[in-house]
Amino acid sequence: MKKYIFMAVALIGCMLTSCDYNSLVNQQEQVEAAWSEVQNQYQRRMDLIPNIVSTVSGYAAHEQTTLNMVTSARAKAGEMNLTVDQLDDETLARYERIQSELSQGIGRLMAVSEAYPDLKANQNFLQLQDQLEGTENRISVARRNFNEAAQTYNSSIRHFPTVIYAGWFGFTKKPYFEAQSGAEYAPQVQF
Amino acid sequence: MKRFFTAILLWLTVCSPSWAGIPDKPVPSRFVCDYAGVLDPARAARLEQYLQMVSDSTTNQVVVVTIADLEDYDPADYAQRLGQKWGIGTKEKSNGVVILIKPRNDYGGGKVEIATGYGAEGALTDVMCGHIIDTEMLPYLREGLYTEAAEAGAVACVKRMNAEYTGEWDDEEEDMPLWVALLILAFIFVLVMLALKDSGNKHNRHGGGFVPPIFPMGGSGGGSMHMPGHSSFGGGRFGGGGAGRGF
Repeated sequence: MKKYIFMAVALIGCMLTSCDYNSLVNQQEQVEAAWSEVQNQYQRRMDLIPNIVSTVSGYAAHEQTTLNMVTSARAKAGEMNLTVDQLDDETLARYERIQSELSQGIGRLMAVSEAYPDLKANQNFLQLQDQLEGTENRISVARRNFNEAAQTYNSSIRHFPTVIYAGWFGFTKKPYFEAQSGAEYAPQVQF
Repeated sequence: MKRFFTAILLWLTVCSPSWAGIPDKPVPSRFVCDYAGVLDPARAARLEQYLQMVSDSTTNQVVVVTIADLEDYDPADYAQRLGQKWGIGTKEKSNGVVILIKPRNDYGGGKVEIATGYGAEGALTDVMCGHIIDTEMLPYLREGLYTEAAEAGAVACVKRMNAEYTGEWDDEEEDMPLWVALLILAFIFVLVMLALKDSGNKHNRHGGGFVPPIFPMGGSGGGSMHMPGHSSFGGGRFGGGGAGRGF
């Protein structure tokens, strides 16, 4: 009898390894890494905002409404931190909404600054623009990498026979970012 | 057996993530890819050799790509995807740079983009990339002098990664004692000389003004001069850093 139990355990052990429990763990870690990269890049953008706001307000104090909007959107975005375990369709959608409010605010701020030639010529402002654009690019790369990692992981946990035990070990499906639409950004106004 | 490999190759092609429109990595690796056909061939070949030598001696890889049509890609997106797909830079350091030039043509206005690999972001910050484009490249690009722009941009990136280029304005990284700079220069010089000796290229002569005269330039051949053991793209990764301009 003992022999059979031992064999059964060995068999299950073999099954788990051959069905790549370890590779599931690796994939989950990749999702985690990709998610923290997403958050890093959004954080990087938030860190830039005080500089942008203070530079713009030096030249365009009339734009107080827009400046306030950006500052409050940033504060809201700063409050929301999501660990990878808290990620599901609903929390990610909320995260997206808050970040895209900030994107809109920044878009509007950049659009109004077009009206101030002195500001546009300001060396510091030009540098901030480069940094902002680079950060937006990094954000979209990080989002894409996250989606790719989540997709690999999600399809793994739904394969047979992994699907049987994935739930026991707490491997749950990860949500995706929506494809980034241009509509998220306020239209560029040319003066 | 051959059929087996063909099948694998086919499978890889079908199953690899779709980068529609981004050209495939050239084999062997090429550092100047003039897909738009706007560069002077002889000077492009010289630039190719220069960048090849830089890669051999420092492992930093700067690649110049011209493309006639970006299709629907944003230039920054295009440059990042290309760098990632080709794996420019080494796997360990990700020290690759893509200089993408889309000339002014029927497909639309001119675009220029410098995209940096993860490991190049420290030396070539977004601001520095913007600065290089503004001061080194745009004056030429606006005149339609694509070859000059490519040379100046590539040399500035290379020098910046060797901590030799600081731009006009001061920044913190500039505080390097002179002797360190000289030491680095001497080190690079020795490496280049060693690389040249290895390559067995006997017909060197000094090239045009755009590179320091310590880099002897082969006068002829260019593209066909790939030697065995010449460096190739090593799997560097790109995270979206860099800067771009329209012209």
